[in-house]
Amino acid sequence: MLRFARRLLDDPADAEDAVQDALVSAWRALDSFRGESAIRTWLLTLTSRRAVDLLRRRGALDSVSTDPADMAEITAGPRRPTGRDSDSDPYRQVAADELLAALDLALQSLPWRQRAVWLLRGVEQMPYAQIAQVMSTTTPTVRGQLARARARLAELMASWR
Amino acid sequence: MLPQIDDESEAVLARAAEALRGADVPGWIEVANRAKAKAASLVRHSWPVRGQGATGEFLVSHRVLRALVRRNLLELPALDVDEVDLELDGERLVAATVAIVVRYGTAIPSLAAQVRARTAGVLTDALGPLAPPADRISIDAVDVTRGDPRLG
Repeated sequence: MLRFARRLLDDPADAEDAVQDALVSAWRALDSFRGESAIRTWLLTLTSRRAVDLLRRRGALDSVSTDPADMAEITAGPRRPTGRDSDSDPYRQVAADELLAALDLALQSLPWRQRAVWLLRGVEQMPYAQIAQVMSTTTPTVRGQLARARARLAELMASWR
Repeated sequence: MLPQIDDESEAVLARAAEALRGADVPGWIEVANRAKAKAASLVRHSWPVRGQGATGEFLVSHRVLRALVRRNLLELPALDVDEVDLELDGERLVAATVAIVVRYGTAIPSLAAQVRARTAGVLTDALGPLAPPADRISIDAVDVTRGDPRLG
């Protein structure tokens, strides 16, 4: 829940608030929990709703990051190693951290629905039908949003290939 | 036509997703503890409902009855349960109203009869002879959806 909220909101404090509110809502609504869906799906649905409330309150629901400095950072690609230790564990860790930082910036340039769908599919590895439940939409819509998200991320992160 | 990406891009995104999955998510313990403290301070109103079993009378929370009814009804396809409302006279359950959402094209009278019979069955199983009769159970179809009613 927290991993999803962190990337969806790009603000650690907001993400923690969203998850806390979602957990409290879950407790309140425990007797209306529909046993036919996985509890994970239900909790992510509540997290997504709280996150959207926060985005709406921030006036950031329809906005995406287009900061030129961020775009330059993503498209710059990995910093190439110098010296003999490019395959060492520390180097790999730095490379993974750089990739993660670029991904974070790239995600913020997506509309929130595409961002959420990519996180649920790519990171949480949820089936399309469950993502549709979390997002209160249909499976074909999820497929469309995911395809657009992947295309945009691939374009931004082309230099990481 | 949906946009496609090539294999190399696919590999980058897979690597990025894996890095994200493996990254630490600090703060979880604190969030969970705060949520637990807040949940513990909430008052969840619950009313006792009288039932009668082989060993005598007992009390059961109205929340438990609502959850039992809802869970049973969700075994039926093509409907969602919007609300289960229980009417109490003191500790005695005297009537129930179930609000359902149905898929467009569903024969509502026959579905409502099934919902009523199942609700009556659940309440009788739970409360024994102190359950309300089936004719005190109302079924309201409050909405009709084109697709799966459970997807809203």
